[in-house]
Amino acid sequence: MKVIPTALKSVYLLVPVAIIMAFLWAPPAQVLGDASRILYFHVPLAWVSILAFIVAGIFSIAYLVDKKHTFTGLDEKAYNSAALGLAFTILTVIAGSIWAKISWGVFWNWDPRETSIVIILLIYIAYFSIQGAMASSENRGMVGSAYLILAMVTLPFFAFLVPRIYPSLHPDPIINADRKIFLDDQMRSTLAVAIVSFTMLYCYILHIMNRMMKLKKHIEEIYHDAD
Amino acid sequence: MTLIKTRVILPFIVLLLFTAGAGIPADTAGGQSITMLAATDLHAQEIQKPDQTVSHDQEKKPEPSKTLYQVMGVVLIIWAGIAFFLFRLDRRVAKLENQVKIK
Amino acid sequence: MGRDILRNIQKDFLVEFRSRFALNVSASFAAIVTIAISLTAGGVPFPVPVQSILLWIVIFFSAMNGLSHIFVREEDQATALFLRISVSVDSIFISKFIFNQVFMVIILAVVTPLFLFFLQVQVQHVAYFIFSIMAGGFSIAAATTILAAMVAKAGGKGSLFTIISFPILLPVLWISISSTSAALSTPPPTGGNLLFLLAFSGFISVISFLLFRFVWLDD
Repeated sequence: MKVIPTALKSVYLLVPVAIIMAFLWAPPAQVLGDASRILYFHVPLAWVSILAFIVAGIFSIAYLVDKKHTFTGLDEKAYNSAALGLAFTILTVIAGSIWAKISWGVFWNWDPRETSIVIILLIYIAYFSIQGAMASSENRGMVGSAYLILAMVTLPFFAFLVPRIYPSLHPDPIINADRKIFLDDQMRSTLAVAIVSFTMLYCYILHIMNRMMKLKKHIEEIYHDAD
Repeated sequence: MTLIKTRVILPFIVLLLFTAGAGIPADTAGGQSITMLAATDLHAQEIQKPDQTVSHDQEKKPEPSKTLYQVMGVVLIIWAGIAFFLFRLDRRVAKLENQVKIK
Repeated sequence: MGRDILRNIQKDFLVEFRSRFALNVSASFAAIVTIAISLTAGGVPFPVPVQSILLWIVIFFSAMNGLSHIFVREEDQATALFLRISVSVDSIFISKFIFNQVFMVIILAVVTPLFLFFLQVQVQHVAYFIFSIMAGGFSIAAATTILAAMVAKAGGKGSLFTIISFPILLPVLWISISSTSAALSTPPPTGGNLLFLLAFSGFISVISFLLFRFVWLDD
């Protein structure tokens, strides 16, 4: 039980290492030059925002399946993960649009990737609206979890749909013939370190949030007992 | 009862998903699969798009410039702030946990 | 169960058509928006993609005005508790689902002719146009049934229903817009879009059927 929190503390070491590697060790990309270093922040952020979304979905499913309440606070854990995911998604969008400005000249052009991240953003916003509207209800966890699952199961349809819709809105082909990424070994390992460290950061913050949630519940119980 | 229902319904869901896939012409649907959302290939397009970018980027020198160090310094300082905040938060939560357990 | 469903539908229709509240709101909203668009356009016909986008925006928002009423009414009039006690979860879901579908068909029957009438739309493939409108409406009503129950649980607060429906209905709107504009333009359309809409609505109905008990029943 003590091993995981200690392992999570490695973010204090991992993130600076990832930053230094991204700026000094990795070579600049051929065409983009030093601006390509956003890659080592943008891709991990996007990965974490999707990971947070999946984790929130898994917690929601577990909450609905677990009828005897063998685990406590699964709905709140899903909520915490979604809150973190929302923050990371917004950061992803900001980093991505800066990069888009540098490489394509515009901040936003409804590229399929941008569309998928916006859909996730919309789902988060809807989830938090429904959670906020039900703030004082005991059905909050159930309804929120049901909504998150419902939103998650529609995502495969977007996977079918987005590449199909795009030719109609974009006359110029965005998806090129060669979909290979040109990354050498140094870039690849930097990216790997960055992804690992951002995932650890997500887990660490989620861990702290869950502990705070547990504390809050505990203190409320004490308060009620004293009454 | 619920279990039986689930067992009947799940194959139906799979079938529906396949139908949805079949509704899309093969050449477009095959291009990107569900892994589109998996983000590991998120950068696939970002890299290859610069076809349209101006070519003067290529003439830049490969060695790191002064700005690079400055940007890195700023990012490291921001991270130091976040790390300090996180560390304090962690310690406070741990303290509170201990106090609550004593009671 | 079959008799429960039938009785429930009958009751819903009786209550709804006694006041016709939701229907009136949706239909008048559709009429006002269509007339406003037509008036500001000044009689100039729009290009085909714009026409289909506008048509689906009008349909979407008029549906959003009425479709949540079916569950919000139960909570408002405090009849939800009795319904929960007396009728099983599945039959409630099925009856409300059917009611919403009928409601959606009525909205479509009001909105589409109005739109065609006021905005000078030239339909090239009539059968395909009707099918794509129906399939899109079917998907919208299918997806919003459970969302209406969620909104009713949250107190039926105004625009919350639109906010939570939009991300889920986005694929439906996209595909419906593209199939409608295919029906309005000359080259013969293919059936892929309609198949997609039907598969989506089937899929979302099954998932909502499974999830409905968690939303409807209290802990």
